[in-house]
Amino acid sequence: MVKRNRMKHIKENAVGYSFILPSIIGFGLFMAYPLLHSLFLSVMDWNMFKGLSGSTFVGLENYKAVFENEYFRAAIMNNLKFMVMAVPLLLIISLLLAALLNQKIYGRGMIRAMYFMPYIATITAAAVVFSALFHPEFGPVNGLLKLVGIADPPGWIASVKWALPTVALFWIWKNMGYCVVIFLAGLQGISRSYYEAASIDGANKYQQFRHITVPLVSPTTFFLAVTSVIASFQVFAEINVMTQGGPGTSTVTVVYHIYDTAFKRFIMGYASAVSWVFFFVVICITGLQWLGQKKWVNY
Amino acid sequence: MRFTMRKTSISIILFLIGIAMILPVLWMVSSSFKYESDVFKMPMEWIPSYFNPQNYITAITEFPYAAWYLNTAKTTIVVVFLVLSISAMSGYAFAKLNFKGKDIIFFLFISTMMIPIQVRIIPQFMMFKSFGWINSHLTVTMPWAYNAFSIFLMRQFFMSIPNDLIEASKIDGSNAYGTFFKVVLPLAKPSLTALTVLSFTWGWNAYFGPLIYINDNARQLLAVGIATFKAEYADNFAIQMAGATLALIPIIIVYIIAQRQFIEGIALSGVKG
Repeated sequence: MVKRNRMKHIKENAVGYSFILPSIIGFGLFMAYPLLHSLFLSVMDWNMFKGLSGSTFVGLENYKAVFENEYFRAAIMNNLKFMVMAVPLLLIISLLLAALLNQKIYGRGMIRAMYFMPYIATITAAAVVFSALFHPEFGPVNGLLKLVGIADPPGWIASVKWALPTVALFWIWKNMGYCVVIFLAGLQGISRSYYEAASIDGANKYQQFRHITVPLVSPTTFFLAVTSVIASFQVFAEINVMTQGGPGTSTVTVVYHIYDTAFKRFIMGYASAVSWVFFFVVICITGLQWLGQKKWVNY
Repeated sequence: MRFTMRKTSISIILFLIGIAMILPVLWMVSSSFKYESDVFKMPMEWIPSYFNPQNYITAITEFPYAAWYLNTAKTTIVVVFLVLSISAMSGYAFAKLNFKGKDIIFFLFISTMMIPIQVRIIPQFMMFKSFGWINSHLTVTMPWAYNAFSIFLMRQFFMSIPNDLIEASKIDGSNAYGTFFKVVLPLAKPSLTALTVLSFTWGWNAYFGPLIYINDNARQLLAVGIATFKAEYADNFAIQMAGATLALIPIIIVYIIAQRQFIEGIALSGVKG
């Protein structure tokens, strides 16, 4: 009996492992190994032009260089500003739209499809279109602003002050449909009976939204807050197509800085150190969100 | 009566916001048929008085569009296949099978969701270089063999399937694979649809990977190819818009055909966090 049980156990394990084997291989090859290698590179002085033999161990020198580099400092500040500008706005607008869409309305399918379309659109093509729309001299956005009497409209992506907000606007437009759909999924899990009870008690639509919808959808909000923050830190295609980090350092982000030093200037050791500092920052922010969730997320 | 008034006004507001969302796309299509001198004319002409096909002819003859489409279609299909098959199998194992170290492996997998891809992109570049994969489409497809987010998504879904169903299938004489393919997988259709949409957009929008690993223009993918327009025709916005339209139209057509399942799939699956 014991023996049969053991056989069963071995078989069970084998079946289980066979199901996850492809993922394990992928994990090893595309996650575990590159991570360890990257950690190793980050303590080496290695410029790709020198070849591997030209690399020397430098300890934490690269990390010191990261904190002393003004581009990195500008990049991390831009990432934080971008997060603060884009993520709350994205979540608030998406939740409001999802709450409206979750009611009985005409043409729901078509409207949802319109909101979701930017998310599907090829990112660089959309970035090309936005660059033209927000062109400081000829762009239709400024054309319209001049038409309504604003004589000196913003320079958008050509202006140090406006470039980052313009990219943020583009990012919100691109990702809103996804957030709306995820919020809709969350809203559909809220029982109608809460609203019925509240309306019998005389709560108006705003009170119902504030005291039923917002708290009960909070696990979804939390999920989107965590994933959107991580995504906002990884913004890259938008920057590379629309601004190339400029004007000045006004739109340099950490990922753009990594790309620039690693794949344009081939300073691999330093770039690896940047990526680990970056990872640490993302972990800290996600950790803070986890700690903060007790205050506002209702499971 | 009051209800219909309310319903109508909310519908109109949401519809107008929807129009605002797709306005950039409408402007793009309209401008792509204009002469350069008319693109920024104010007040704007939404429907040009004459259709100028020249921008499209220039775009198609000067850039390897057909190759970009084919490459992107090919890699996207492979990405969707990899993500779906591998994530569904792993998600099922983590949800319903028992094996040693299951929880630890799952925790390890999930914790990688926080690791930005940029941390591994440099060693991955060196690895692909030593494999001789630079300029090969393997560089943009194979890394999708591991994707913690979609494993998590599938696990969430499979958790909701009653154990009785799996037991019943076992009693009927199916082995673990039979149960998975014949009983469980057909039930996962909404989640698989959602994952198809997501992985389709991941594949179609891939930018960072091909930008780094592929430098042969004929082997390039659409997202990177399109960006070269802006650099080469910096002053010709009509051509830029034709190029952008060529990139967007196929995906929009696919999307319009499949949009119901697309969005329902995401909304109904376990993407609730």
